[in-house]
Amino acid sequence: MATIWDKRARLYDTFEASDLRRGPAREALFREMTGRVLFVAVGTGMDIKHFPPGREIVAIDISEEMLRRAAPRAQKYPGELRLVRADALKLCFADESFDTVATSCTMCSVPDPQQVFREIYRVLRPGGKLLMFEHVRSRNPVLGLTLDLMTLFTRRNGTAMNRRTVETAIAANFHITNVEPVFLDIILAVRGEKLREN
Amino acid sequence: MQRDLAAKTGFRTFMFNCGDCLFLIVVGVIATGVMHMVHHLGWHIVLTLAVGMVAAMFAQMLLAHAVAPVLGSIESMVPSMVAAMIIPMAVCLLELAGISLNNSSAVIIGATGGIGVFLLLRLYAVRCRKCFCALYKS
Repeated sequence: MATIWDKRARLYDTFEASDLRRGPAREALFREMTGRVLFVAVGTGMDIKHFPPGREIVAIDISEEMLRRAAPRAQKYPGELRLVRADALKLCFADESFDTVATSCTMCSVPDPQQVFREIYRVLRPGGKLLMFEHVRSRNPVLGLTLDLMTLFTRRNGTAMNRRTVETAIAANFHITNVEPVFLDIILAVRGEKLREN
Repeated sequence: MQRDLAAKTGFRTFMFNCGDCLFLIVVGVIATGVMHMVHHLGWHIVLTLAVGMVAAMFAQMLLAHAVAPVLGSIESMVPSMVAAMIIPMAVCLLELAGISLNNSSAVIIGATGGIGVFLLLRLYAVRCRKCFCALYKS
């Protein structure tokens, strides 16, 4: 898995990050980061410039090459930002140790999104925020089929275009509070929380 | 301040919409042109359809990758894939109906198809926004 992303790191910013178009939507979502933040799959750090200043953020990625490219961007961040090489499937953090968990095009790229949500649920404190900027399978049959077709090719590079991430988050016991469509019903800014137990 | 921000957002949206529309017109014209050229080879209709479709999709993929840094990877790839799959079918249907197209008619069909796909997606985007607003009232 790490090898695929090490290779993709080279052209990631040019062809895949799409920051020109998605930047403002990402910024609006990540503005809601509060307390101690875990950012899952930081990649080359394209999202770092959209992080609100003055936060305490731990940003992880499985790829050494991605983290190497993210390092100069992390250094410019006006707050506390630590880059850690870690697997989203098995997070190396204590239970309930974060106030916010944020992702950006992460759930399409992990082999087992259910397990990643279980791990996020574990490390997030009750009442903590889940902020996700993700692309998902469209509910429209034509667009959905197109995304299924694309997945036949993109899966080899570690990306599934047809994941039902919002439904997976709900199945993992997250309470989804808001879903904002960024591009059709394919790219979504999702806000959720881990409910406090009564 | 807020009015400035709204104007800036509106301008961005307008520019990206123009870009999307123009891109889909180009994809429509090229995909239709490719299918039109394959029809001129005089092969069996099934072979023509298969080869034409593969060639149109290949052209679309190259175009989508070229504009991805500006228009966005998914934002360019998904709509253009739909356009490249559907619009060239018009050429096949017309050929099957015994109507032989000239080059300019193929270009017009491609461009009209591109605008059509763009408009349908805009309508769908509005519907999605309303749907999500109704589902998640904050």
